[in-house]
Amino acid sequence: MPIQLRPPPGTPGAAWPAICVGLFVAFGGVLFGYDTGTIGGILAMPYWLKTFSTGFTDADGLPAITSSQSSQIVSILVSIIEVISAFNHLDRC
Amino acid sequence: MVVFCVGVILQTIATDIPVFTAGRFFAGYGVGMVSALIPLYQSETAPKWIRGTVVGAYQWAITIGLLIAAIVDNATKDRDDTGSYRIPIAVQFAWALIIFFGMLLLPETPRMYIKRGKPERAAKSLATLRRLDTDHPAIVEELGEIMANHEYEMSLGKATYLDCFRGNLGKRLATGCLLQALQQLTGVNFIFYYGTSFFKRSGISNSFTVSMITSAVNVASTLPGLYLVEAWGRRPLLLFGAIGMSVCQFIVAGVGTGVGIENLVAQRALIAFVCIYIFFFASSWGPVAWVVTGEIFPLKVRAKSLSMTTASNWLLNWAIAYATPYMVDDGPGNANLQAKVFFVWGGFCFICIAFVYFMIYETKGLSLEQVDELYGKVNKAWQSKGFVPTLSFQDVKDVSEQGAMRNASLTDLESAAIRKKSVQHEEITTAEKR
Repeated sequence: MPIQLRPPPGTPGAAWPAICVGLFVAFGGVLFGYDTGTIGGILAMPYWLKTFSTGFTDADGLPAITSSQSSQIVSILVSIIEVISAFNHLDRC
Repeated sequence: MVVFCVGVILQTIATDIPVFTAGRFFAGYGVGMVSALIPLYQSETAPKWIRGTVVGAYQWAITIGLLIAAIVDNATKDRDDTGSYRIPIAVQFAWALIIFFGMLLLPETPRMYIKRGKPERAAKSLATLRRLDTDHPAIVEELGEIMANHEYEMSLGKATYLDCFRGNLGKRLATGCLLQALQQLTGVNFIFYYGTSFFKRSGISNSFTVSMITSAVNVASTLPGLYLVEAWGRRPLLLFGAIGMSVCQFIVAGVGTGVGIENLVAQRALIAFVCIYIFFFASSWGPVAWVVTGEIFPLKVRAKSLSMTTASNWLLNWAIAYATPYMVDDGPGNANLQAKVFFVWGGFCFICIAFVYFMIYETKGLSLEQVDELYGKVNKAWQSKGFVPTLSFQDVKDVSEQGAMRNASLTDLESAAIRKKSVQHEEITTAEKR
């Protein structure tokens, strides 16, 4: 579908409700992107690592979390999004 | 939204991993609802002329969300208190509030009312959305279209999952699932989930800045991608992207493995090629995978086939989120690949090139019915470029409106359409003779 910002000439009705719908939809995207993106930085924050480390340290002796801990923290969000989307889909079919 | 807020609160107050993980569990529930419902809402409310833009805006907004996350993380990373992680998490309340008020303001979709058998309310909802009277001809027409569409879908009956595999539908399903799986296997989410930690371990001192740059490249490159998918077509853009990504990934892998982490030039080269990789991804495979899966399935099996292709995207997304720490990190039981992991992504990008060449049909500018004809007539994907549909949408609609041909194959429909044309022609000529 082509990208269009103006209604074709002769379209009856107002365009701004359509644009509001577009913006609202866009906000869902921001929430989605922010939620998946924010964890990447948090996992590398010195203070977060200091607070959440269970005693594991990295090569430089600084507090760190284990592979299984970071794997668990990141993938739980993805897997639950997955399950919820799947249920929503089955509901519609 | 309430569940989502519980999740955010749990993450904010957490000081150990179990509570934090539980918070992410509930937050994921909210995000899952939003990501499932919003595309549906947009397709049922946006007028036809703006639909392409709205779909594009949603894709683009996801990349903006990623960028905002990188910026907020960067702003709070040096705080020596809990604010360093609590602020980025609590910002999610702002998004939740905006969506909550948005939902209060926006009406239920007309299609939903039609489904529930309340046409008057559907008319009212549509009239509110378009700011016209309920008896305006444009409203009556659009409502009629929604109703006809709904009835048509009902008349098709329920497709089973088995139906999605019949005939060339199986081939299309395989194409869609592989496309979505490969999109994840190009390694993009490794960079967004673990990039900051990875860059930090590669000896790059300002890894948060690097993450902001990669996210910004992602935002900027999605726009040309949304334009190019219509200007170049699906096949050339996916091929271009796969070749570019593959080259970049192998360079990143080679530089990261061959040169030590103390080498500043090597680090800069690594960052530069990660950015170029993101450019190739965001301008091609990122948006185009969703465009292609959205248009290769006929209406009857569309919902079920799409659920399977989307599941394959999420499954690989999850698998990569889950497995990469074990693949990349050192330590007992881990593969200790470090930068060599980019050889894995590069290898998959290489497979992507062959996949596009052999499996992706050029569907630019075709209606769903014409895509059916394309798959029915052209056996080899690489010959799909020169395909000219002989079937116009109106012809098929005319025939199927007569009702008798509901379950006919497309070739049958086409011959019927041609028959109908020649019959009309005969009628006209005989009329002239008289």
